[in-house]
Amino acid sequence: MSAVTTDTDQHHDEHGPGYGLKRWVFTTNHKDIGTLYLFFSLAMFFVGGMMALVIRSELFQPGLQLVDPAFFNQMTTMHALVMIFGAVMPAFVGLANWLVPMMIGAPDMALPRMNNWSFWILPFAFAMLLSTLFMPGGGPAGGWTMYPPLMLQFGDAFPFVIFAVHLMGISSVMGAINIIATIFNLRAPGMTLMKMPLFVWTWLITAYLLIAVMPVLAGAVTMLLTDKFFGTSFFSATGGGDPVMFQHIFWFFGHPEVYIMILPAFGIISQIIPTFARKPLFGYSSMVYATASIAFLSFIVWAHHMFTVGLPLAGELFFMFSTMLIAVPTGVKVFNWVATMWRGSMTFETPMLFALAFVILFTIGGFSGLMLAVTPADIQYHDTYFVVAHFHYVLVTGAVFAIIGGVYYWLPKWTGHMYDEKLGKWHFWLSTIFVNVLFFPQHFLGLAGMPRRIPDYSLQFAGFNEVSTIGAFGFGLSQLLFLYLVIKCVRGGQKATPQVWEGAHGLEWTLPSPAPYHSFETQPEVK
Amino acid sequence: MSERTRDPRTRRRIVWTALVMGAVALAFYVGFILVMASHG
Repeated sequence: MSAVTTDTDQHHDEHGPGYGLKRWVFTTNHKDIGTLYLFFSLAMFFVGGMMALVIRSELFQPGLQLVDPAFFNQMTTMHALVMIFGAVMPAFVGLANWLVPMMIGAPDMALPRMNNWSFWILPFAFAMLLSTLFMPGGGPAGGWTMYPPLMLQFGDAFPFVIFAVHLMGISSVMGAINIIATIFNLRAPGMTLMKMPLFVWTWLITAYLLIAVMPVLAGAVTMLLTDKFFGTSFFSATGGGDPVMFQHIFWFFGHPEVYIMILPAFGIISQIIPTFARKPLFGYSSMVYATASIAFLSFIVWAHHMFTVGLPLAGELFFMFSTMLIAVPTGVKVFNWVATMWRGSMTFETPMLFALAFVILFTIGGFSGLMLAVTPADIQYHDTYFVVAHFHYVLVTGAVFAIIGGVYYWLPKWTGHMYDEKLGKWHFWLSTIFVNVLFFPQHFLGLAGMPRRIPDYSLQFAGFNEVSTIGAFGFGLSQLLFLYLVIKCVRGGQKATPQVWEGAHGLEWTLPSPAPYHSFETQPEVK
Repeated sequence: MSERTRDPRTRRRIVWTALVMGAVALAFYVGFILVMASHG
């Protein structure tokens, strides 16, 4: 380490972006890699969205219309895998890449070459995953939860899916290591932990969650692999194993995974609301502690996904109450966002509209989650469309709305141009109306007893399914407007000022717009 | 590259942070499978 040569480094300082394809393949720049993650995520959002439209088209009417049931099951499974691991998680990593170094006054991520590797694993992982749809027997069809013995029964695709999941896990863990190393080692002088923007805090906690649970998922799917090909019996009852054990392991990963997808969203909303309310965030330290509490609780609630497997009564009670406990720190957050807006000089630009919709609609998703936490009630709701409605309110109007709001918020900083505000508002209203048309009726379907993951259903469910499908197409088409808006903003538009938004505070807003290729070559001082 | 990332002490800290975190992740993965296997 002491053999660092200054000459080489000074030469390195003069590097700008490369040209053509090489720039993107070999880049170690946090902004380039952030952009790659965000475009990859957008592409996967549309791929996963097309799968959702296949599902909703089939469900438009009762009976089998468009696809055979086996393909329908592949669509539900792949839609989830693509949206979770391909769209939502990479979008947050992309935002972290762009913003964490700028927010803490760092020149780049701490491990830039590993950063490049983290990203470039993903296209290969998803090429492999999506290629399984063209293999004999088709893609995975047992649900994203991959429960055995169902998961072990399908064709040639199995090892490819397992390998793809390992690659996604490796990518996520490397991304998490990079974020932790950056935050702990490259903060500007004066940027103490309790002065960090909330987005940085939520990502720091998320990174620890990733390191704790991605290896658990990898371990679980490795054991599935050895059960299938190497004669072990981890999850096979005939060999002395236990298939329910897989569910415990999967959800020990799966529930923190839910928070991996929502904590950075909390961070984004905590940046947007103070800007457009023109007030500092209410209860900053309580926000930090609430985020940490949610992360801790996420490890002790997993069996609420398994209330119907026959848990001991004490177990059901424990997991019911621990799940309900999550409402406390989440309530603190919602209270703080509302208190930040209270008596603020609010304006309603597109990022703020998405943030407001997040606060209201995510809370609806939170409340339906609280309903599902009640064990006796869950036995009725389990595996119905009520669950589908619940997690789509949390993940679409929660995570996805926060990502879209964040993109509108920082797009002028990234591109140097203001986006088209009028079109942005159109995008917001169309998305918000159609997303409710899409998911709200699914609550009623679930309460009436319609099971999830089925291509056909009883006649009494027809009306709400028609409405839901119309909402799906409306929501899907509205996102084309978002794509157009982003491309338009990248190509040109009104010049953005360094601060962009009147009420914006933080180090990223002290840089010019667009942010220079190498940010903070001279360290800023935080007072 | 800034003054901060040229600093050998910072570089050492970055590498150690990454190694420790990577080792924790790897230990969770291997350890978890071993624990499961020994209780099988």
